[in-house]
Amino acid sequence: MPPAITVKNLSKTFHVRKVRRGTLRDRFLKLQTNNESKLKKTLDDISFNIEHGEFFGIIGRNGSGKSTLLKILAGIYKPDAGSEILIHGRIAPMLELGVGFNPELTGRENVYLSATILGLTRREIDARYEDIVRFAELENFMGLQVKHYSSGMSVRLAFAVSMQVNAPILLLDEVLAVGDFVFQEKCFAIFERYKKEGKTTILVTHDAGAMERFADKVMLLHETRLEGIGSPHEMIQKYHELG
Amino acid sequence: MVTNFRYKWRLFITLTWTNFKLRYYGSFLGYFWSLLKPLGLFGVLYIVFTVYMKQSTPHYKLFLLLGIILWDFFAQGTMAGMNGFIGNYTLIRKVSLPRIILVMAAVTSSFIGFLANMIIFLVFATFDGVEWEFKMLWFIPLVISLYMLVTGIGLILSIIIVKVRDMLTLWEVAIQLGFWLTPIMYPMKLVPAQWRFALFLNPMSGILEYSRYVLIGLGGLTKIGYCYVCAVSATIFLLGMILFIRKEADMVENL
Repeated sequence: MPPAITVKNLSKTFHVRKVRRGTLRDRFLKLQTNNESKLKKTLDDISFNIEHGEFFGIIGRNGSGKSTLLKILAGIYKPDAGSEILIHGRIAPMLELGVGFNPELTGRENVYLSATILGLTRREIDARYEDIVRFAELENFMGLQVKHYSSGMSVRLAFAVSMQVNAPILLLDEVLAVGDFVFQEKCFAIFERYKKEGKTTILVTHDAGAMERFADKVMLLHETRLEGIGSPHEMIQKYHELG
Repeated sequence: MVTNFRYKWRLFITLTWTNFKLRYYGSFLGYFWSLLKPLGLFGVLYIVFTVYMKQSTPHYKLFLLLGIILWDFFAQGTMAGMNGFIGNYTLIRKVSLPRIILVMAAVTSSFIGFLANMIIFLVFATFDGVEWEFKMLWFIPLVISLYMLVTGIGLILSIIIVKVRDMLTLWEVAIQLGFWLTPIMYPMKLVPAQWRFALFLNPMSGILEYSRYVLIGLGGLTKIGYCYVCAVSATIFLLGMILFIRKEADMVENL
């Protein structure tokens, strides 16, 4: 069986313009200034495999390219030419939390909207709606516009919706960063379930404890480069040594 | 492939409906507020043209109302389409989805408003003694053309505005000028003959003129003109689709 995800020589370069020309006025006034764009490498020649059913953790400091990597796997950004990505199985179209909630809509409407974006049919959402609300502990707030939610509330709701995705490969970016310990325990229960169901899960987090507890393998990114792949313990140690 | 199409269709319907709801959120009168602008404009122009300027075209009321309703959709729809991409930046940066649907849903939610306005027009027309004829079915291709034209322009504008943010202001000015350069409150026959051709190059002129002809029986219709309108609209629609799909990846990174 081929790996769930094969990444070969993946690089990503963003074009960062020195002068931002957002408006026509800018364009005319800054005509004489040179418009050379700076190339900023965010990921540099990364190769790895993720097997089916693996719980794969990614750690690294801010700006090391973790989120960019997940966004490329999710299909939001296109990698540079020459990069090779092979994915076996459907990848959930989800990323960090707050999957584009619309603040003007109520919690209920947002659940239906984001679940539709994540690929569920209306009937499936109807069937799971109660579960979603219970998981997010928001039984009394579903009629309220999301702009009146606290950040913890909207994160919980977003996570509850994301949990419903029926894809064999899941991408989770910093889902543990927000939410209290009760909610974190719930997330851990979900992670256990994923492992039991044999789902391939890719988790980005700074929570070393969670990594040690769940991850089969951890990848360490450092300044756009792949520093190593190994056991959680080993990689976390290396991460701290790098400072 | 089938599931993919179904997914896109579900997404399109849900987003269209969400946009429609959002537009009228927070007001009890909802949809009726959206009528206020075209109807208010209609009232003022009607008084100015019939009372002050003694405009005596038969069915001038319907003539004007239809023109304003069609133009209002053009203005609202292109604006909504232009914002359909940048306005959804939170979604675009977090989820991978066919972004063209965001723009098309924005235009389509305006289109629903337009269809509701057309029902009001038909009620007015019935009271004003317009007779129902088979000829009126020729209005349907015109509506489809209008929808394609607005979607195409909306898509193109949504690409431009990523790079040039003041496109919003420029387009507002263009709509303002277009309102006077398109035969909305005056009939085409008042336009000097040597300028008519130039005016008809704007596909909105044809859409307005021919809609009035088939629905109210005012003005005229040439086969060439009718085909021109449909062809231009379809071309702009296809152009918008192609450009958008080609530029999509760049737009996501430049957002």
